[in-house]
Amino acid sequence: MTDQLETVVRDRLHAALLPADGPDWAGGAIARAGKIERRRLLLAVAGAVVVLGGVAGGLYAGVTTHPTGGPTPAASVGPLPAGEQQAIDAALASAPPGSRVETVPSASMAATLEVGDVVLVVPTTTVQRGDIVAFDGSQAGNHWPNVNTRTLTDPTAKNDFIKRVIAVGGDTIGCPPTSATSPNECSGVVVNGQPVDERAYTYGTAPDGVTPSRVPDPTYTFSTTTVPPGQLFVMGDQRDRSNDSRFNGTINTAAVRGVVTAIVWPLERARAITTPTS
Amino acid sequence: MDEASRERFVAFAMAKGPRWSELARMLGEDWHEGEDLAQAALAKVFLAWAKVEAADDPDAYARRVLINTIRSAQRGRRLRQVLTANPPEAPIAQVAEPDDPMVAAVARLPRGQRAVILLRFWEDLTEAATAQALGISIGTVKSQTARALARLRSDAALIVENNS
Repeated sequence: MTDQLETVVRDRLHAALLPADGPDWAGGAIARAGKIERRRLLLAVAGAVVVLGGVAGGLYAGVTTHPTGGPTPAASVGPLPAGEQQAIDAALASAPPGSRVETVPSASMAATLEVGDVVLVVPTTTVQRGDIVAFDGSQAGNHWPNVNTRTLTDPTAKNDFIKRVIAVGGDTIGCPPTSATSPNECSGVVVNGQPVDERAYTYGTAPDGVTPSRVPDPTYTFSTTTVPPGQLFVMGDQRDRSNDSRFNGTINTAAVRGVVTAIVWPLERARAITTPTS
Repeated sequence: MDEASRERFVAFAMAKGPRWSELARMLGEDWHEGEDLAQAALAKVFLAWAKVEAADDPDAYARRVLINTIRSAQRGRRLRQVLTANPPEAPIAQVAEPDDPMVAAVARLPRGQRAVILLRFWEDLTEAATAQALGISIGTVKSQTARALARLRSDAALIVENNS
């Protein structure tokens, strides 16, 4: 009965709602984007004037500024720059056998991992909460999308996702709403009945829509479930930009290629990745 | 932005514009605003194009931009509707109101139910993708869909149409 109605609704909507040719969508959008940009620039100039005023007023407390503009994403084709190849070779030489490097495909882990970072993935049989894992999306579970379209250097990693393990097999995990009046806003992830302090690694996006911000995005509410044995519940550090277990369900541990233990390249971001203690 | 990624945006905008405009028309509160909302959402996508392309699922990311644009327009709306002594000028260009009984019935559904019906059955998204687009749980998608279908099943206009 319901199935029948679903089909009817689907067919009728498809037949009746016909997208018509409209204005010049691309040109119009780009022109409009220019207007938004100019407004932002005005605000930024106003902000700079305030900051300069503060400096002139002697409020400047010796804060060092960082150069703007992040590292450029690694090129997807062609030979790697000499330094990068050396860094990768050095990392693999000192890593356990079976280790590999992967390029971070998406901004879902920013700013812990940025798009284009080359990371060291070490195979493991024990995955714990807080670990960052690389896993094969095509083996992870039925709901995980096939994203085999990425242009990455390593074709075997094309379907890989990199996410943080929030709960392991046997854990209960949920994100209850803050209040009845805002049912989609979650107060914080709860694992095995204990609220998890995620401030050390979650990020949001600044009002400019681009820069990662230390104020995390809210995690959407989801009801408490038990992670089945042999499965992991994973989420990206940038919650508003990550397609993860909240939507696609838990992943098979068999799909895990390994734990991300270090950023190898670019050099200025190279560091060991440790599991937060909490 | 380099030439190649700009070209990819142009292709994206041409492909999405018409559908987004219909979606915004159906999901927003004002039938006449769809095109404008779609255009505004595309402008935001253009500004964040590098991020969109870098997302796990660029389509899903862009769809969230559209949904958020529609939602902020809905938030502002309550304040903007003001009673006046004189009727305002009539709009010059009239966009046709929905004349298909099914579309009209879906347009009468409450916001949340309307959104799941359109995303599930017109955009043909899975339950998981619908949940992600709307920032709600899969359970909510299922219950809202069931409620919406129940409403459509008992919608008087559709019943009359079916019997005639």
